[in-house]
Amino acid sequence: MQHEARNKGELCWQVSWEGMAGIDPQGSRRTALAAEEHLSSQLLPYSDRKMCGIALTAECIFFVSDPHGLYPLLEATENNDIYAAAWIGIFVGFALLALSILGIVGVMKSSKTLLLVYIILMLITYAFEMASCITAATHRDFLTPNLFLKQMLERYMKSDTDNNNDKQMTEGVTKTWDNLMLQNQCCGVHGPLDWQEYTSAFRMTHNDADYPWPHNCCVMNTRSEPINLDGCKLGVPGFYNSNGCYDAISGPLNRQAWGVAWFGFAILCWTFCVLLGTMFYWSRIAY
Amino acid sequence: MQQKSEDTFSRGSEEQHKYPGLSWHPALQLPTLFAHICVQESSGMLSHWVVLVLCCLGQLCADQSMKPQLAAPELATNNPTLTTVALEKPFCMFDSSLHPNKSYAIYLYVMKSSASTISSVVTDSSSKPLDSTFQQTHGGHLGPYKAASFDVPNCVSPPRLADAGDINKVSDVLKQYLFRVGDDGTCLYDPNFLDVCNPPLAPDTTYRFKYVLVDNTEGIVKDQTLWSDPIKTRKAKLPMKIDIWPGRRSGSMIVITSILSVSVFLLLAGLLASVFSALVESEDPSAETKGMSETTQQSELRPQLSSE
Repeated sequence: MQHEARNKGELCWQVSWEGMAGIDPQGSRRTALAAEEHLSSQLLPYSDRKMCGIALTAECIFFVSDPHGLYPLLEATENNDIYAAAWIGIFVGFALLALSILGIVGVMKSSKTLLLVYIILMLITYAFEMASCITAATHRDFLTPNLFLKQMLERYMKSDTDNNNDKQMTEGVTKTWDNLMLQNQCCGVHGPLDWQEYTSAFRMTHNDADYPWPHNCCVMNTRSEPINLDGCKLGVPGFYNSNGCYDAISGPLNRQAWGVAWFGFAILCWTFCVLLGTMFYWSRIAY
Repeated sequence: MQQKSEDTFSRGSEEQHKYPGLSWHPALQLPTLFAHICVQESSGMLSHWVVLVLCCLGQLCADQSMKPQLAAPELATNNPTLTTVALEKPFCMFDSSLHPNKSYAIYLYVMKSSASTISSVVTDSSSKPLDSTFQQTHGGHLGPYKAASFDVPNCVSPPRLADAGDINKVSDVLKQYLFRVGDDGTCLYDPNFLDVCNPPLAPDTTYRFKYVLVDNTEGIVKDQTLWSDPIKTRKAKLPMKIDIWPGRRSGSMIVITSILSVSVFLLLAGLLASVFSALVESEDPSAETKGMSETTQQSELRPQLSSE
């Protein structure tokens, strides 16, 4: 029993050394090869996890870098937890990378304490990654068109801000919406009539006769001026953008939330199997 | 020529159902502008004699039912807005009253359509048009106010709405075809403003409009349309009433949460089980080694005793 449960790595080295010293070369070589194969098959899950860790880190860094510039919108709704989930994902990816190296060392040395440390640290990392996945999936549900509509009406071009934080959020929202409307040729969340159906902070400073909707909703020429202001104000087709911006907002945010949540979930499923195997292996190593 | 009038006929009937507020030429079931285009264009064709007769009869009978109309909805999609209303100019409405050698102007009067509107007369006792302003009538509340004064629109060659797609022509088309009531937001507060002031209307209020033909030299009213149908400006809702509750949880979130929670539980259970089994195993070998050492000691003692 003791003999079977002995460290396969140590056996491998010992037998190969004995083989080199000339003691029973054939038998020792066969057992050494068997031990090496067994060792490499055990190490494979840990090297796979290294790749998963790197991939998770890379994906989350891509999301945190905010290529579409939508972070100010979420920051102003105070609902930016899908970014928190991506940040956690970055650090979990690094942790997976480091712990997989620890796991490889622990299996090769067959040290019971190292493997116990590895299992406990992996459980903590598992818990963090689980938190990241659940956060991303849950907070994705809060990102509805009405949320962005309400925020746009209350913050876009708001002139009387209460404090620095409010001012910063308002500037972020205004700049983001201006960029969105210009680059995607869209207006409002559902359409330009959002500006007509609701009062807004924009309406306080811009009267309806001159600005039924912001001038960024008009079709622009190359100098970023409306091609015909009267046509835009009256709503003549071809002189204003009649489609809404919700698709341009929800597309990238959905991809981020689902990317973090489902990729993390896949990694955790794989990690679950490896951890169970490691616990089983650890329980069979004798002191 | 035939196809064009057929197109306008079919368009007219479906539009009448869509926009019941517009007033239609009673004889031909066409918008007034196109009715008079029909008159102009069918005048040369033998097969359109019946249409021409009807047009003329309709024109004679319909002078009393001319009303200002909203601008065509395909052209001005945002109409009426919160504070403005875009009206079609009175094409060919006053043709019977025009003399060739005189100059005329058209005045537009605006009035709130409510029970408390005291008077709706736009002329004074000597047939001169009223010179009331927005401030004097409290925004049309006490009576009609003059909102605009412009030249008689060209009935012979009206602007073609298809030209509105062209960037170069759209300004002219819009200027000739429609008039936007409530366009000028600054004239009320400008002390130097001398022209007719056309300030923004009030939201969520019903207004009625009237066109009046005035002879410039004599300064008296020659003809006037009826008061238009009541036109209501938009009402704006408060953004804080918008409901941002997301509703049901999505299925993906439920799947992820439940599966991950179960897996964490299983992992913790597995950890406890393996620690427990490792502890149990570590107790047994120590008992075995203790037993073995005792028996070896006993077996060593017995040969010693036997040898002695």
